[in-house]
Amino acid sequence: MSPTPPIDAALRLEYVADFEYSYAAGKFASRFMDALRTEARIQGTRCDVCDKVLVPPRPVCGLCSGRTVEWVDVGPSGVITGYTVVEVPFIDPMTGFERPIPYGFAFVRLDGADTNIYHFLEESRHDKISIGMRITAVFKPAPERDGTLADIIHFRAEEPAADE
Amino acid sequence: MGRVAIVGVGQSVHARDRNDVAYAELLLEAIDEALDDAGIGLSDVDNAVTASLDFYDGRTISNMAVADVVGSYLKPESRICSDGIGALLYGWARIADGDHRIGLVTAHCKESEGNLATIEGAAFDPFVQRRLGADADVVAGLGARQIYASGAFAPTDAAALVVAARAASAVNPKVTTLKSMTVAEVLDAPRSATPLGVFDRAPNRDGSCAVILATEEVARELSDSPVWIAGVGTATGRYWADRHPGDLSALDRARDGAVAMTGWGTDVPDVFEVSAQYAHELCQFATHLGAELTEAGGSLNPSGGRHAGNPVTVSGLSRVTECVHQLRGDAGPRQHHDAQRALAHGVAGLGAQSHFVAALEAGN
Ligand SMILES: [Zn+2]
Repeated sequence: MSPTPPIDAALRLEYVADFEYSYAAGKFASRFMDALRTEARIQGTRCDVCDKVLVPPRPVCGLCSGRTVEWVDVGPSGVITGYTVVEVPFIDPMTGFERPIPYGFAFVRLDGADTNIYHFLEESRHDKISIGMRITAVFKPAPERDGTLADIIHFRAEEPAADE
Repeated sequence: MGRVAIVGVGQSVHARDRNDVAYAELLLEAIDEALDDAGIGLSDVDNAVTASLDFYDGRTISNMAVADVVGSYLKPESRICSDGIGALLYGWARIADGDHRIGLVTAHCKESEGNLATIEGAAFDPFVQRRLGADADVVAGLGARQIYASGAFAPTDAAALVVAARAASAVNPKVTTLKSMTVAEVLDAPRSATPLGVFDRAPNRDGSCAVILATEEVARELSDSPVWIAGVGTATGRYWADRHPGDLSALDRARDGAVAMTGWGTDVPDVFEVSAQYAHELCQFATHLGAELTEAGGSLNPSGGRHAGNPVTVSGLSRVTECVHQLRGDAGPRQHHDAQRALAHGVAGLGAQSHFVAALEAGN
């Protein structure tokens, strides 16, 4: 009988796996993305019970468990309901390139919607960003749109900032 | 402890590729059918237990992406990463202990969306197993060799179950109808990991299932013919590599636990719905549960079982769904005459490590 001997160096095992997926977007996301791509339109679905408009669109209203029955256009303008200025560089998964810092990232309540989406802000003078500020979506030109949220480049101030 | 009834069941159509729907939409198909079957709305449900696996859904905590369709905002929701029949046991406990009145139990999986070799490979121990690149077929091939060598079953027994399942798929509207095959064709098919051939493994599928549970009081309001959960049992066996595949102590415990709660004594149930990914396992599991293999397509797996086409995670809950149809007498061309008692079985884990049994009965 011998006890478990001490180890000189703790082993670490590296493991790299490529988890590939082919996600089915389904009925709601497919229609949402198609409207972005072909018409630069942002759409939501309206709950049949509580009347709230949900963006991105979905079949069931989580708030009241009602079903959505109607597609409605929202935006392209809305208000900032929350924001942050990102100071740490990382790879933008939509482009594969590092996004220059700092840049603004905001919760956007689009006109006609009852939920938020989040997206980039164009405004580079970050002291001008505020909750409640009106902003509008800037779309890529039609030939460049591919049916993803990157079809919206970013949101910019609806009116020029006051000191311009 | 209160009685618990199943008052509604539903399933999506299970197919090789449900590319037409996102996984939440796939699950919604089953939920809509179950709610309609029960005659209630989603807001009537007071808790949900869901079953799914992050690796298949392709995102972490993937149950949060179905919270709206299962109606669980501001309600208790729990999720198990195992077969949906385990979620049924959990949902049963919530109602049996008196805390809840109406529960929704769901399972969903799309085997078509990820890379199955990578997903199955990640289940293996990273130090001594994973780097060798085995998958579920290799584990099953090792096991099948031991089972056939023991003389308990022969490849023809397993092939006959595959044939029966494929025939049953033609009368099960929730699965894709499979091409009919003979025992010889199953045995002559290309091998995957000997002694197993490609048809020994149940086909990969996308699908979902939903079951609605209720207290006795609610069940009697909703239905003249509720199906009762008379007993439940579950047990996890030793790690697959440490266990002879003929050791089904976990299944035996799950079965004994479930049957001990019933008043059935030694009477044999009328219907057995048994889940197994590989046909030799189906021989084993069905026999241990008390079914006759010659009854395949009759009292054993009238739905066709997993070999008719259900995904991992969903298969056990699908077995429950079929038992409910059989006990209510609304199974159509699959109906096994005058079924009053049924055992539904599910399994999870590499090498069939965990087993679940639900004993279900009709009547008052
Ligand atoms: Zn609503």
